[in-house]
Amino acid sequence: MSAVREEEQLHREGAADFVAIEIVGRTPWQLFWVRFRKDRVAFVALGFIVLLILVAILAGPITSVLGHPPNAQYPNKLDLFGTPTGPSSGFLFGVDQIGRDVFSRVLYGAQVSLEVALIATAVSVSIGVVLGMVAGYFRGWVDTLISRLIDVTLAFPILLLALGIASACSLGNGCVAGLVHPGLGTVIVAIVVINWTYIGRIIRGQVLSLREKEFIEAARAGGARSRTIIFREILPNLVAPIVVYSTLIIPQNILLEAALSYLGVGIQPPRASWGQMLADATSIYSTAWWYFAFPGGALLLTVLAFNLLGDGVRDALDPRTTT
Amino acid sequence: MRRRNAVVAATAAGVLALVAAGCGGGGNSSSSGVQGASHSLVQSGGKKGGTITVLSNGDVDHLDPGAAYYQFTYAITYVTQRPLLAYKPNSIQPTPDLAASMPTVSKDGKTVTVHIRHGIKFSPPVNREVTSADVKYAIERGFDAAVGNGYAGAYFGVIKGAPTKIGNTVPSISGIQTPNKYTIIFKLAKPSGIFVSALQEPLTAPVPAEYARKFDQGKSSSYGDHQVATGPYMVQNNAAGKITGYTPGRQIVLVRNPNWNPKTSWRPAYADKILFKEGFDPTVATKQILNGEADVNGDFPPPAAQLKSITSNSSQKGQLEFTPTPGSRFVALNTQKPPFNNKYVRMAVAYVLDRNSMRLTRGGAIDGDIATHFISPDFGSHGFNQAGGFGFNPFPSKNNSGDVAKAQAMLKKAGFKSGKYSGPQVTQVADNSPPGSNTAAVVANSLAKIGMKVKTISVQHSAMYTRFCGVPKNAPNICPNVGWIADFHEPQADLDANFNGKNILPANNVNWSQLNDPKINALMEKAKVELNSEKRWSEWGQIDKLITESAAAIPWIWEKSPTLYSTKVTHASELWNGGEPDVSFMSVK
Repeated sequence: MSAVREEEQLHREGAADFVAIEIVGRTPWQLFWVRFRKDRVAFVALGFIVLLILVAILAGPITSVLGHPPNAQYPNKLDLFGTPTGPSSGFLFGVDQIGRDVFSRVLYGAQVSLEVALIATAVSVSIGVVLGMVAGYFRGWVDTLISRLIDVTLAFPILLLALGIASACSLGNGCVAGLVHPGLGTVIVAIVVINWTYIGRIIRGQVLSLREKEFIEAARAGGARSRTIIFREILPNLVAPIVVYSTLIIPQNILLEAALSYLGVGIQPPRASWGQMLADATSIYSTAWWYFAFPGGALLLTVLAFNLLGDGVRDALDPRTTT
Repeated sequence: MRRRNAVVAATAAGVLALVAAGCGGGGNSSSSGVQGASHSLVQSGGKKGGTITVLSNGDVDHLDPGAAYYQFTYAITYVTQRPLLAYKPNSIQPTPDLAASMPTVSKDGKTVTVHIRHGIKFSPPVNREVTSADVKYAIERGFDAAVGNGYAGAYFGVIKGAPTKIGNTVPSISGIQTPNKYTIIFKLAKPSGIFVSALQEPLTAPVPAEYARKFDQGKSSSYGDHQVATGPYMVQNNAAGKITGYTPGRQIVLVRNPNWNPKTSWRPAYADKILFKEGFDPTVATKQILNGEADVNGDFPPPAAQLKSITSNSSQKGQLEFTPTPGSRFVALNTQKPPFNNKYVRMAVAYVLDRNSMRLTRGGAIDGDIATHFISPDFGSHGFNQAGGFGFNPFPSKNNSGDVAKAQAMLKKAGFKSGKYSGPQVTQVADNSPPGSNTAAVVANSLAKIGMKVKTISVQHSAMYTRFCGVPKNAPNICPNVGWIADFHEPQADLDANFNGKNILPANNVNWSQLNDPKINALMEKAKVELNSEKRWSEWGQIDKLITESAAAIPWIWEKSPTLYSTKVTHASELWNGGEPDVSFMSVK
């Protein structure tokens, strides 16, 4: 075998190797899924969130199996001084200051947290995306108006602003001519008013650069109307930042709801909310650790899970950035 | 209505009541499983000297004896000032203080004569002997808005010539006469069963006109900052009379009054100095008293968790004393609008309320007896017994935890055929912090048992009164966190302001149920002018029964207030004043 033939042989083997690797066409979403699956932390977080959603949906059936509705009182579980008793076989998480089952209330609290997380996030993202795209695409006075509005809103201390809005809507029949009722509605409005600005500003920045791209110019040259360009050409290119940003503000919204409820202007009793349970627990923390530990733990785990999920989603969608 | 201890007021009851009685035996109360030391008798034979330190969370309302109207402030007022009458610890029977003997009342009840002691002198810089004219001026200045007295109209408005409204100057009241230096005569427009009792209010403590008048000028009197004393102690001042011992929100220093003559007074006044230190967190203050850094709590009750550990600790248990308070907490139902304009719906609520759980929100049996009507046990023979005592309970239930079946029967009478309430949702305005918020949650839960949905609006305790429950036009269906403390042990002071239809006001209303029952109103007006105390108490006892049966408001606790003493001092809690310490009877061991 001559030296030449050996080389040919090598070439041929190389070619065979090359052929052996199948070229698979993958959509960006498939790529995302492949990368995401490798992120074990994010995957566990996703599992926890799925579990949480199931628990929230099934809170009713679960508590009725246990026979402890969230607002039922069990005065026998308070001692002679009205101090609640801790975890026991019938009451896994103990009882609260008026003898309600903490376990049932933590389950129902998950409903509130998730409702706020999903609704408030969806609404604030929708508003932020639309206004951000409009500002970035049209520029000019529209941009000035929207951008200044964002600046002004961001200039307020977030919690104080939310507290102000929530307080104004928490009394009597609510605010805005009775459209916003105290409770869940108020919390969502307060969160939306504040949170659309962040995503609005990010989207505006993205659109400012996108609108100068050739494919947009092509569409414009082809006579497409602005609305078509914004929703058909630009929006699909914003999916990644929208998804990433949404998963990252969900935990913020859950915390904001808890903070407002903690301060007494959020979810109205007797509905259970983790923030409100923590507020009630502060007056008896020295004698009833379970009353802040379980809702607090649930809140911590939920926020952590959404944060880790958000990080994982961002890494998977945009592998160039590392954390 | 005197203000209740700050912490308590901040959460539940509020204001307090009035009336007077001049008499009485002392019905000490009763019952309750869990207890600390029972109300002790004052130890005698104390030791002279030393300093007593009282801790408080908040400040006094006004140092000026003409404006003070707060239990905690009264603990200072009564040892620095000498009203005509005052109380000894453990007594609800007034005793002559500035007065030389109990007042005499003419047969028609319209003339009340009081002789005052000779030889009582104002503290420096006034230094002269007190005369009856000083008492006259003190009462008259109570009708000046600059002083801002809270009860002058309610108790002293009955004097002939008294202004019907608080004005902008010190009026001259023709019905207060001073025939000589040691006699004061009150001419009344009509008899008043409680007038003599009202003479124990600090408003009757003498104020020297020639000295005070310049401070009473203008919009707001500054006499409080320049006051002179007649009691065994005085707020520390300088040679010109300016108070130096008061730093608002920080501390008040009482020193001996050099012009006080122990021979004219029944107060032993053992300690040389009394220090009121303010701005303490109740938990921290309780710890300081337990370890001996301070001696007694002023305006706050020790927190429930600490009460629990103290009462279960045999060596600390004796440091705690519980004093019944003259009043009750109740749930007021708005009788002027549906659904509670229907008596049977109200009665359904009275049956279904879980009063046992409500009491647990305030610490359980240690906090007092479950109230079954309004006049509290410490009134004893002054109306409590006449109202049926512990035996009168028109809405009984097992363990006081509510009777759903009876409530449903009432709803059927009200026209709800199924026995379940099916009307529109009702609204309650409640405290936004415990324990009031917890009590309100129990109320809402109880009503849910008869199908009544309750929307709860949570606000600060003071806003609950000033913006909602005290303003009939904004009043919700239910006010679950209201309460009342009588100024003295006369049932009129307990019931008149809260349930007389004549007392419904457009603002600062305390008839929270807006009860306006012509029969009850008429019985009250009749009882007010009854001079025979036995008859009067018995009439008020009947009125209490009628109000309770109407279910316009549902009483649920007769509270006791805890006073914690250090091991270094003797105990002396004021039975008439909701357990405030009487520092003139305490001594350092």
